[in-house]
Amino acid sequence: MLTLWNDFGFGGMERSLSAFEELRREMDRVFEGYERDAGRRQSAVWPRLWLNDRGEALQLTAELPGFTEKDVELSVERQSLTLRGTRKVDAPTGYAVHRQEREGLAFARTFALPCRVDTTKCVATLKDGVLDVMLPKVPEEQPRQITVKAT
Amino acid sequence: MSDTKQMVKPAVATPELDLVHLSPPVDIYENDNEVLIVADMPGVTPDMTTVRLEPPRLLLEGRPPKRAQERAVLYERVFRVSDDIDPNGIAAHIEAGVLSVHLKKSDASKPRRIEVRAGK
Repeated sequence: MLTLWNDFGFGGMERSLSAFEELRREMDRVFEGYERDAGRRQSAVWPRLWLNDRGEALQLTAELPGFTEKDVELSVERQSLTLRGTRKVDAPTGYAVHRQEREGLAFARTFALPCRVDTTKCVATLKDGVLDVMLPKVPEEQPRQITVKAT
Repeated sequence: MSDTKQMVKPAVATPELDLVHLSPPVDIYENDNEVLIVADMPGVTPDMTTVRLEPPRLLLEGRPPKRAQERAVLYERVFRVSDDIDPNGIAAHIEAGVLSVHLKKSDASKPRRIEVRAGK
């Protein structure tokens, strides 16, 4: 009904040449493994996320497709951050399942922050499946300009 | 132009060389009326999504907004679709970074109930 496309045209030879048939089977075996991993290559560490220093704040960005606010839990301490989430992937009722690469999962990740943050001012938003957390640094950790004076 | 990387780029555009192609994980479901494809494309909005049918291929593409200091990403997946899919009956929507594509089956391919009549 619906198969993954691959551009190798071994399909037509299958009945006529047994040697090619053998080769095709071998190719299928190779590509089967490749295909099976195709959607998962990016999920070795899940979720994909980034922690950046934006000067006055640290910014955490995490890709959480299919998550709602209720599925995500975030807790911040002065120098660490924990992100937890669960996602269920249920087949829609009445449908047969052909392929299921999107996984239901639960994860928890904790980070040591490189500097202290003001836990009362942290803001987190979830939009289009991307979580964005701004963690303002405590005043002592903010970057400061030092004026050079002539003497 | 605040980005210094942009400023040193040659005048002639060499587009998308540093584009990262990602293959999003997909689910494929089917019932009597349609085939449903679900794909994870975090960050992608409806206007940055392309669903294109070039029989027999169906292309799904999504471009999330580029993040500062990261390479631009293109989510991309291609399927072979059999001809019992109605080319005019494809509908797609994206929500919370999850793309759903509904492929309606043509009427001829739907299972039909054949009435059994009593013989005389």
